[in-house]
Amino acid sequence: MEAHVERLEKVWAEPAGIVSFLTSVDHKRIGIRYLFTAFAFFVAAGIEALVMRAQLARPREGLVSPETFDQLFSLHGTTMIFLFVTPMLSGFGNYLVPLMIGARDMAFPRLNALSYWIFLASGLFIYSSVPFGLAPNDGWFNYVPLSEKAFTPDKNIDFYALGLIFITISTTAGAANFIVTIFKLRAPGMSINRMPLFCWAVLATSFAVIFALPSLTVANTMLELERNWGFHFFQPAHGGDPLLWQHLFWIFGHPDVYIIFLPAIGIVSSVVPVFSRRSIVGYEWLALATVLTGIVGFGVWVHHMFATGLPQISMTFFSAASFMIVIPSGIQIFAWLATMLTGRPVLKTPFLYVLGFVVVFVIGGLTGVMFAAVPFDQQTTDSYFVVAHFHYVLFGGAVFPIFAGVHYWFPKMSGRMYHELAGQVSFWLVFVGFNLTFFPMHVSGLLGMPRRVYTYPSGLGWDAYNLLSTIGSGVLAAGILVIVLNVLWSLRRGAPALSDPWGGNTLEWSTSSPPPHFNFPVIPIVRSADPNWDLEDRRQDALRLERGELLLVDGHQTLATTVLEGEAEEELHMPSESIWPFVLALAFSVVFFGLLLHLYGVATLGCILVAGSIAGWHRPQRELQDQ
Amino acid sequence: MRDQSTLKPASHAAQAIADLWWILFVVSVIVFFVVVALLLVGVLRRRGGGEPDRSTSRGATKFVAIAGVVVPAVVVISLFFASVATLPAVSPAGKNARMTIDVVGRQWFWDVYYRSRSIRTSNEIHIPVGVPVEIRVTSDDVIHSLWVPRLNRKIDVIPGQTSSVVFDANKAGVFRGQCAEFCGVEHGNMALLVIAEPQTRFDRWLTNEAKPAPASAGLSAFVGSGCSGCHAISGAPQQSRFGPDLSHFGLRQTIGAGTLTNTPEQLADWIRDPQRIKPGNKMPKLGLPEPEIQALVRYLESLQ
Ligand code: HEC
Ligand code: HEM
Ligand SMILES: [Cu+2]
Repeated sequence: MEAHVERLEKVWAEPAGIVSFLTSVDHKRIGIRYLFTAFAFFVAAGIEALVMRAQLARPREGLVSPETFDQLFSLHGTTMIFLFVTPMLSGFGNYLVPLMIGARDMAFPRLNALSYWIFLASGLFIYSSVPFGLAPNDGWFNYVPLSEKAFTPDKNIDFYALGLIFITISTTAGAANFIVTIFKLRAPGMSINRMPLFCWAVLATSFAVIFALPSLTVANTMLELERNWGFHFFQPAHGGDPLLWQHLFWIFGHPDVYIIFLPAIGIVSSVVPVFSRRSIVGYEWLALATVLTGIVGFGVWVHHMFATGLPQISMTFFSAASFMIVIPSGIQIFAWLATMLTGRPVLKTPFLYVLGFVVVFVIGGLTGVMFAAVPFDQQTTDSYFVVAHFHYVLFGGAVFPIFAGVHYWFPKMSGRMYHELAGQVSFWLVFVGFNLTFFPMHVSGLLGMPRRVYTYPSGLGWDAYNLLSTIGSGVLAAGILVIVLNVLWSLRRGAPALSDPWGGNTLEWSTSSPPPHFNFPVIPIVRSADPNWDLEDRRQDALRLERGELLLVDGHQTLATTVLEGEAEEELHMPSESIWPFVLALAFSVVFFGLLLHLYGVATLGCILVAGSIAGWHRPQRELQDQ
Repeated sequence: MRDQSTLKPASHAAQAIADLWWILFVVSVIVFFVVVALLLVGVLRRRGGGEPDRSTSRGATKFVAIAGVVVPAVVVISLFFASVATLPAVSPAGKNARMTIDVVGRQWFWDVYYRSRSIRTSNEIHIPVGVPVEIRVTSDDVIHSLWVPRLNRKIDVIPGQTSSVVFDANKAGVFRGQCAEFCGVEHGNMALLVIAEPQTRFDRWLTNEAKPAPASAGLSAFVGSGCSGCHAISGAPQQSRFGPDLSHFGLRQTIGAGTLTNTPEQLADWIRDPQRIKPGNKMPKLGLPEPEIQALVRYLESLQ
């Protein structure tokens, strides 16, 4: 047995040092990088938000100029959506999906590395606008014609449009990778109805990404063609239509809300059963609700456009669809509640964040239902009521689960426990701070305060609510700071974690904390939806390890299984470290900076480099056989 | 009193929306407290942990089906009908508007045009109380949105497209509104006032607005200082539509689309340096000598 493990160590070990940093394809390293990088963007966007709140603390405050304010909210929104929540959840997916399904890596490890490098490069691309004062300034949905050259002549919008096209490459590649991984690399016996709900969520999200992102890319490509090449897709004077942008954007944008939200509820569905000490109630219902949300999410985009003067018939249709999307959320909420009601809950930090999530998300969901009512939407859309609503949904629906996940999987990822008391303190600060920041915005919205205003006059009844909001954002920031300090402290000083500190039900808890490079010394065999609670099965795994069965020690190997039943099909050889993903991301950066600066020679050179890197990537490699 | 609150309706349409809001609000409060109660019972009743319970519970699944599907379905279907029932009240169609006013959204002010009487003004819409008035909106530049919460829903103001909303005030008053679609740097200072007055006062206002400004020394100063290169005053030789129409400016209540109150001091401030007051707006600082500014202020305030 020792010999087998040693051999696995040797086959999967990645050399230390800077080179290995650039060439690693280990999904766990990549996942953690995703988490850290996305969190860094969260801090940036959080600081932007705090400056905005300071500016709005009092009427007619003059802390920042109007132009700066516009850049702040545009950058804040764009960062939070594209550079924080989505990649943060990709980070969890990357780290966890292979571990949860009993695989040794993602299906396409190099593509996975590429996804990360492109995410980083496109994030830096967008943020490189900041030192020049040219950050995107027309909001995160960047409506035309304001974003056309005639009204925003500088490069702010080119940073936005090209940056988003750039990051789409990363997200799309990541989604394809998740789909194949989840369909093909599950441990034998993990039929699709035994798959962890987190994987269901990642699967549904990945399909949504594949279908939604092209619309965003098309819209931004058209915008760049208009801005730089004299095309007229959106200009009425030339037979175009500004509403075309809105349709294209929201055909992407609304599903994107679910792209953000689904993996987050996957985290919730992971935490709830473990801390309620019982198998989740209504597994099939939850899986179905996840898939349904992903699908119905494509049928509601027009509710972002109810005030544009569309015909009533079409609004009524989209209104009905928007009301309908409540049902899957209802299933989820009540399945979690039923699990808690019939379980024996343990109130640790991850579970507290989940409870906070339920409270906050129910409020966000209820205001969401209100927006499905066309006349109410037409009254309050683009007011602070919307700002309140989408923070309840995005912060409540995604960031609370993310914080739950950070605490829940911290022991697995780091091998150390976080500080429980600090965790609980952070929860209460975040929960109180969050509500203090965003609840008053419902009121200021109903009192008529529009969103995206850099200042407001006094005397309209908005002052007190804005001040409260600003105070709340300080409390919220303090809570987040406690999380950061807790993580940094615990990484060094935390008590060593066992492989399964929570009594978890999924396979990541069956391997050591942190897991070895190869995840599992022996590919586990699964017979239920809570495999780590099947003690007998896990003992059988240990026995097979001793007998030397199903070890797959000849190179980077994992097992491919059938899509539905999860029956063993073949042994797969996975590629190992490579520098090409990094080089390819650099080459893409050259293309995008070339396009940004109108240096078409440079862009062409970049394209050649891209082709070259792809060729290098595919050059046949000697199999990493015996030593 | 210049309230912009959706909860203080001053028209049938705004009332219908506010009523819908209260329905939505009450239903939401009930749902919220039910969920939170269940949550508290769930986590506080039988705490403790222990070995995982792996039984499947029929009762629990039934609970999910009823509380998670049947009840929400009934609730949202009812709300859907409540919403559809409110639609006619806020839609332009079906209303017999007795008057039409054209409003053009501009970066960052509102042009107002009473076509039937050839009257132009800016940043202020006068309407008679109790008369449904169709407001037809379009834009010359980017997308704006006309939102006067106490009178009706908002309507986006989109270039190349004309849309309508009906203002039918059921009481006299001054109702503040504001642009509600981000339209560039001064989006935050793009307000307007809707002034609803009894029919007779409204008619008097119309008759007064229709009078052109007489030729005077003030008018020549206005032309001489270059103001008429951007601003129209009815009766003036040049009618530029680049900036807001200033006919009868002395009667208007605000300066800079709601940024300042129309007093002689604040008007002088505005003419002295509009960029300090509303940074980025399209009226440049002209650097006029002080006496000329005072003369312009006197003239503009005299335009009653
Ligand atoms: C280059 C064009 C330009 C010139 C020249 C110009 N203005 Fe303006 N003015 C504008 C614009 C544009 C606005 C609207 C500003 C806003 O609210 O965004 C404006 C607004 C105003 C307003 C406020 C109107 C309202 O209802 O809010 C006054 C008063 C005014 N200008 C007076 C003057 C005077 C007096 C002069 C001559 C000394 C002058 N302007 C010269 C473009 C100009
Ligand atoms: C950290 C605490 C946060 C604070 C204090 C905060 C505050 C704000 C403020 C003040 C605005 C500008 C509102 C306006 O002027 O219209 C805003 C906009 C926005 N926020 Fe946040 N926010 C926070 C977190 C988040 C998170 C976590 C997300 C998403 C996951 C998010 C997504 C957005 C989006 C999409 C916008 C709209 C930007 C636009 O109008 O283009 N925010 N936020
Ligand atoms: Cu506007």
